[in-house]
Amino acid sequence: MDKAEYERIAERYIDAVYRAVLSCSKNKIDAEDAVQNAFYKLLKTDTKFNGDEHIRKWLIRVAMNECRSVWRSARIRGVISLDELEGEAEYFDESERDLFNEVMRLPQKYRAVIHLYYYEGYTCGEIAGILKIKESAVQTRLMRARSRLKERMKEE
Amino acid sequence: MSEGRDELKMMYGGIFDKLHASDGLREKVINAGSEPSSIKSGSRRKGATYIKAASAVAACLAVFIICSAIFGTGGKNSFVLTASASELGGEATVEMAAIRPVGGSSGNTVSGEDEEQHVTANVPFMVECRGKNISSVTYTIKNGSFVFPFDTIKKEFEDDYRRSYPNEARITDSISAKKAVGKDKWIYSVYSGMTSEGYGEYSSYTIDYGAQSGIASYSDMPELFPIDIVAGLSSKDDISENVKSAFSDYIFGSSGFSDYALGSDDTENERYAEDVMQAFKMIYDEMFGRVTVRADVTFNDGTTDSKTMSFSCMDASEEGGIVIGARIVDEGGRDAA
Repeated sequence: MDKAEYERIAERYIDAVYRAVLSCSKNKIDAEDAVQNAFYKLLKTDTKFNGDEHIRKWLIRVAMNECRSVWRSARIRGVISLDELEGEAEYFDESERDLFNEVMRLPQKYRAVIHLYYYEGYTCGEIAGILKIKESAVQTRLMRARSRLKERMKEE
Repeated sequence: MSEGRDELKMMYGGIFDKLHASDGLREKVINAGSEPSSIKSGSRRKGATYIKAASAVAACLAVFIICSAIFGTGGKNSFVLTASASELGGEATVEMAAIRPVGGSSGNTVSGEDEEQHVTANVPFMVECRGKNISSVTYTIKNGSFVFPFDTIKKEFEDDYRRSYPNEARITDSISAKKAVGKDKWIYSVYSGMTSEGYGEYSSYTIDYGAQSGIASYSDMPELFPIDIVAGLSSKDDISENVKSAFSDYIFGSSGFSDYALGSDDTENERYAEDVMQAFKMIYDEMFGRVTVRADVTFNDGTTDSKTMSFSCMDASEEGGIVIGARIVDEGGRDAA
């Protein structure tokens, strides 16, 4: 990929990739590392892409895998809070804060599908392709995540 | 129902629309495209780690200075082993890594009239050796194997766990490994039904610090050091009745291993999933409790020193995995050249 094309892609998708990794990272530093590693791999890859949407999905998948490699180390615990993101985020009202915090309390595997489904707007089939899991597993995770969120939001 | 989902979609989308990559991150990512050659050369680290090379160098220098102050009195040879950045020493068990979800295999083999049940699992070997005047370190494993997901790295690819690895030739330049032989051999290749083709399986490996031109760091570059410990356990091993029972009930039960593997979504019964977790913990504890790894360090002046570590299960991690810890069981001894 030449420099101009890389920069166009980086400009276009950096926010999408950052948001995707925020949804499954445990802190901002890891999220930023995952984004940088994903774009670095884009520079290095020999993959033949079929258009921008293919690149977008590839970047999200690679970045989410980067998050998993951080999890693999089993060292860092906790979740991202909106307070940690203050300074780069716009104003959040109370209900948005509550929802964000509850989503972040979900296990990583649930957060990933929630983000890809509700934010990226991917279908269960597309999410299965990105996460390399069965479509039925995506549906199960979505169902359970929604159910947990519903319960927790009711409690508050 | 769908109204609630639409509301969730709107709210969730609204939150993330307000989050943006920082200017600093944006600049680093975009500049990476402008200066790929400077990123690639003179460093072993990738992506973010390349970009943060200066801070990494400073951090390494700080670690070196601290280690020197603590262990390097009068320029003497010394080394410490660390797991996840914590030093191994004394009686303490230190977290090393979590067992990967579905991290292993299981099966039955029939020998004569006896049926044998067996299971294997792998955990990242995230131990580092740091110190002063180190020439090389050789790790030798007993009752297990080291597994490199690949022998030679040719290009970026994805392994079975769908992590992708970048090309990095220096690994093969600086690490030499001895193929596992004898009993170690069956643990992975036979039990998992895989051949060793494409999967390095070793009883020991050596890191040449001269070729590394620095400290071989797993925690800094986990993607470049995908070295796992693989351990196996058989129902014919000398194991307790509880472990045998866990074998039968949870791994070789009617639904089989894969349906109830850690991290699986197919377990409808949460209570049962918790039982499975405890059973796996018991099995992994037995399995990895038998494994020892000895680190033999050779210093630049030819003298040697060694430490031996063992492993055990700690607790369930936040994500549902089981954490394997390491501790030193033998401080070894220093030998003259």
